Amino acid sequence: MRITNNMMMREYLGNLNTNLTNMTDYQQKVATGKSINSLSDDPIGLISVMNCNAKLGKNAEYESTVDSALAWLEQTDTSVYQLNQVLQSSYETLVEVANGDLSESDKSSAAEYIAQLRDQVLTIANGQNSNNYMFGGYNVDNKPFTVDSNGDILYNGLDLTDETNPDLIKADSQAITYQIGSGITMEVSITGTELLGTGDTNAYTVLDNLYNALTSDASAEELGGYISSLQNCQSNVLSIESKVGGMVNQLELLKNRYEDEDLTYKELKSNVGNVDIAEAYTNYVMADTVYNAALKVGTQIIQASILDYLK
Amino acid sequence: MKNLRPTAAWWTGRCRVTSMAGIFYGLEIARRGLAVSQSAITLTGNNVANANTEGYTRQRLVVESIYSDATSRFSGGVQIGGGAEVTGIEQIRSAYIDKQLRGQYSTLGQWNTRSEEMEFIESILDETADTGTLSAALSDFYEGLSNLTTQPDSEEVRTNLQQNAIKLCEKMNYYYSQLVDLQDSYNDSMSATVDNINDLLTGIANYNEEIYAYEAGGQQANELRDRRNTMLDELSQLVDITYSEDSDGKLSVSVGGTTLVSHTDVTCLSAVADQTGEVSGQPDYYSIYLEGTSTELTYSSGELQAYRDLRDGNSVDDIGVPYLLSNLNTLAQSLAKEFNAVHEKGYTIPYGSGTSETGVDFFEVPAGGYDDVTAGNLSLSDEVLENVYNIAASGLTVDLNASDTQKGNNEIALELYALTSSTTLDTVGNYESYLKSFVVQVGISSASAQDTADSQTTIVDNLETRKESISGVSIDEEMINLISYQYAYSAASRVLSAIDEALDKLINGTGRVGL
Repeated sequence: MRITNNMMMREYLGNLNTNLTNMTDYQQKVATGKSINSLSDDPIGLISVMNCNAKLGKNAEYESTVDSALAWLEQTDTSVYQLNQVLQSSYETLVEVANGDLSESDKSSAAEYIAQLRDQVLTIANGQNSNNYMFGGYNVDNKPFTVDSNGDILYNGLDLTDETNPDLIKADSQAITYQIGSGITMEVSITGTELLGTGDTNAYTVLDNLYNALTSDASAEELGGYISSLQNCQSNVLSIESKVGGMVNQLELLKNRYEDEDLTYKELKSNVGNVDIAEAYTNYVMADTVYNAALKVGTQIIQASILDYLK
Repeated sequence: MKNLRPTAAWWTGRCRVTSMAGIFYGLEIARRGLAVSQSAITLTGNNVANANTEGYTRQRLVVESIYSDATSRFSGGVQIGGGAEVTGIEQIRSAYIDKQLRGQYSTLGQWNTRSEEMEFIESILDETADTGTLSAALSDFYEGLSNLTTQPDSEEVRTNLQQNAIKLCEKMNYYYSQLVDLQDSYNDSMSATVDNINDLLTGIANYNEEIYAYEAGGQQANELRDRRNTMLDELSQLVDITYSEDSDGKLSVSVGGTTLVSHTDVTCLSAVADQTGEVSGQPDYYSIYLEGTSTELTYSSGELQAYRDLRDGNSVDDIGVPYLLSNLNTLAQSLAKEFNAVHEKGYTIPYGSGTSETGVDFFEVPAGGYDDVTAGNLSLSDEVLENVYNIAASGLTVDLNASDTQKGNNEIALELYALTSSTTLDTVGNYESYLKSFVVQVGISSASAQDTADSQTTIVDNLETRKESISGVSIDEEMINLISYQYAYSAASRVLSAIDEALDKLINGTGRVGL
């Protein structure tokens, strides 16, 4: 083939341009630390990166929900434990009163103690987690439990002893639900109706009746009848405690799983989307060397012509 | 021998020697030799001067030896030729490679333009960044919804959700307006390209006229042909042309089977703003007609085609701005439709003297319904913009004065949040997957445009190298030619001297015996 000076020049310029393009490419990769700097760099790799981003985003949401649920349930657990303690104390006091021949003053101080414990039940049942009432169902901003002028306990304004009231039955189903995973939901709140029970056997009413019995000088037999009522209340609370414990376990497992997944996705994303700096830098240095060599050879080729040898 | 002085006609004529033979015949041959070498040196100068001129084709002197007729014979019938003369100057080029190149130029023009523009589109839809992308905005919106499920009564959480939703709308609006601007600019580019084509068509017709007139005198119009060829090269990058030159040297150029230049007659193109932008509905989009007619120009490659594809392409195998817009619109419509359908079921938290409302939209519904939602006009409803408590997270009426306020009711918040991971949404399936596949399509389309442009560049480079190999000026070659022409000139001069000396001897030194 006949070679002209322009051909050499064009070829040389074209090659220099290729070298420079390579250098810019490597330089960009080293500078950004990313191997995908535009959509067309690696569309398939981009799918992986975007998948990982979506997964990581969803996981972050679930993790934050799980954290809220854990905070909520840990506070619930404390309250339920306290409630159990209160019922245990009531039970012990009752057993003492029912068995022994207590003096009148001892009886009345026992009655006062029961009244205190009864009020504690109310305080515990109106417990809050970061300004939200825990046991009110969807009613998070008003005290769920109140006592009316007759001394009857009301849950969200409804008579707790009226167990057949459809509104009360509906309120029982209004536990707060969180979505803690893809397709996984969990009722993270214990409703007040579940905590204390409904009807006359609810913890507050049992203690209230017991207090009334004590102050009205009830017979030992009558008092003995409250023992089983209190045991029932306690076993209800215990079952709630173990349910909450189970939920906390499940949430912690989920949390660990999300953290593990985060690591996996971050690694995957990094494998596809991040530059191996050592490799990119080596490539850059090689491209730089080639570029410099091309420049050196180029200047020699371009300078030479027959004119150098004509006198 | 009378009449030694040649006549004027004898000196200047290109006619052959008529009756001269003998020693003066040699003088004439030497003179011609000098003239040929001198022309060759001048032409070498011209080639060297144009070594870097765009479109210049190297020229070569056509030299022929002169046949001598009978009268110039020496006694005894021996015949010597009449020296040499220049009969023309020819260009060294391959019309075949020219034709091949022009076929490839239009493909190159199309794909170069497309790949450059696709790269620009990529820089707008840059979803590879970690922040500031549409996927990031979508993800932040999801996070806001997730927080709403755990704290439906928190003003802070609601404000965060409202702001993230605004950000999502604004990002969609931004993409939309940027893409519409691009579509407008492609439309403008089409009209500018048409102007460019018209200039070239007119220019070619003008050169046709000049070349024809010049060559009627029997000379090759080399430089004019170079310029016309350069124009044909330029034109072939803009639009796919076919051209032919008839035996009279009359050139015609056609596009899509329509003859636009026929020797000196030109049919120009006109860009008429008689349609609206695909998908965007922007006004004043151009159709290209043959000037003064209602016949649309048909063409299939070149830069003009690249701009039309980018302006009008609305399918996955022909990705242009409308395809991107309609994808974004689908996403926007689905967001508005699905979120509103759930949100309308919910109840707001009363504020001020208001009551808990239901049937409230989350995203604004235009007067024409959801079909009128575009990525360009997606926005939050006035209610949600006015107050964050108008976000309906509750499944039941919220009454702040009741014993059971229902302020912590998150039933609707949960349903809204469930949309974020749903895979059965109408048309889009899942928002994130839809966005992802759309973005990846753009990436693949751009990568394939770059690949095509690259391989087309290789083909064109190869052809241009072949063309340069044939037509380019080689300085080395010209210098070597120069040396041989110089020697030839010297040698012709030497012949002249030799004859001169011989004549001197003959005239001044002969017949003087005894003087």
